[in-house]
Amino acid sequence: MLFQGPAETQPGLRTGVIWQDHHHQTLFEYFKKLDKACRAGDAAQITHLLEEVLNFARGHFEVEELYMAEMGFQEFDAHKRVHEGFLKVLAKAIPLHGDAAKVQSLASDKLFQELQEAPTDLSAIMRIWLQRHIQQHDAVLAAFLLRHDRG
Amino acid sequence: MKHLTPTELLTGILWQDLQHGVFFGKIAEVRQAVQTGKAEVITGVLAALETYALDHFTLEEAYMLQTDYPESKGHQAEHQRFEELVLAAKSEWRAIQGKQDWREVAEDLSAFLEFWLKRHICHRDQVLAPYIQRASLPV
Repeated sequence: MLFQGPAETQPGLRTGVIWQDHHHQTLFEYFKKLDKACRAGDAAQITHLLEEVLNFARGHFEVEELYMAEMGFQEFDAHKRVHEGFLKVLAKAIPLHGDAAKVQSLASDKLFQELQEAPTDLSAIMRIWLQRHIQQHDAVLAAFLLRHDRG
Repeated sequence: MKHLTPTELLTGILWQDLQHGVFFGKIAEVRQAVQTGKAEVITGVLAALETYALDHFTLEEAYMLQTDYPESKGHQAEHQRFEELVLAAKSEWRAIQGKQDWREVAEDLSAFLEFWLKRHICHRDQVLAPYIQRASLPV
């Protein structure tokens, strides 16, 4: 059965909304690829992956925001601001020409400062950020959507 | 929030309609690039289409799997064919880059994408969508 796959999307991180879980799984897979590219110091691949993550995350957030808008979700503005913060970090990473050290150092961005665990690599801290985001924000949205038979 | 999917091509499933709108947006980008003479835009559109199609198709196929959709084989075959055609278009585009008749190739590309997408939505996605909705899956 699909969506019982990687550890990241195991029950604690699954919202029950198929498109949302699918997108989260894809994002976790991107973070792994980015980590690998950074370790290999493959500048072209780092830049390519950052662009792909940005495009994919933007598309994913758009879908969530469309549902929030259509369904009158009360936390829409706050949730959208969180999305925008994440996209800004990615936008800062892309012009770094795939310099692995500089890209990874964005882990110190203020967006991630509230996370208790604080890895020094961007690829690692994005994974933790997404886990927290799913638990704190997406799970609330998903529960709302499922109550309204939308997901 | 608005998307670019024409009303008659809506399926009623928000994520699907939004993602179709992104495809239509890419077609519009190709047409705009022809008008403005920005050939480099086409390269970006083809790369984005490849990634975006993979995500969109995988998601539709996940819903098909969850619902034991009886038409999944034919539907997935069309997805696979589209992915092959995008790869072929990328190859053709690489070969034509820098040549004077790139606009003609780009116009053919946009016409093909629009034809394929409209036909696929009408014949496949608008059949799949009510099936998903009837299966009482959250959509």
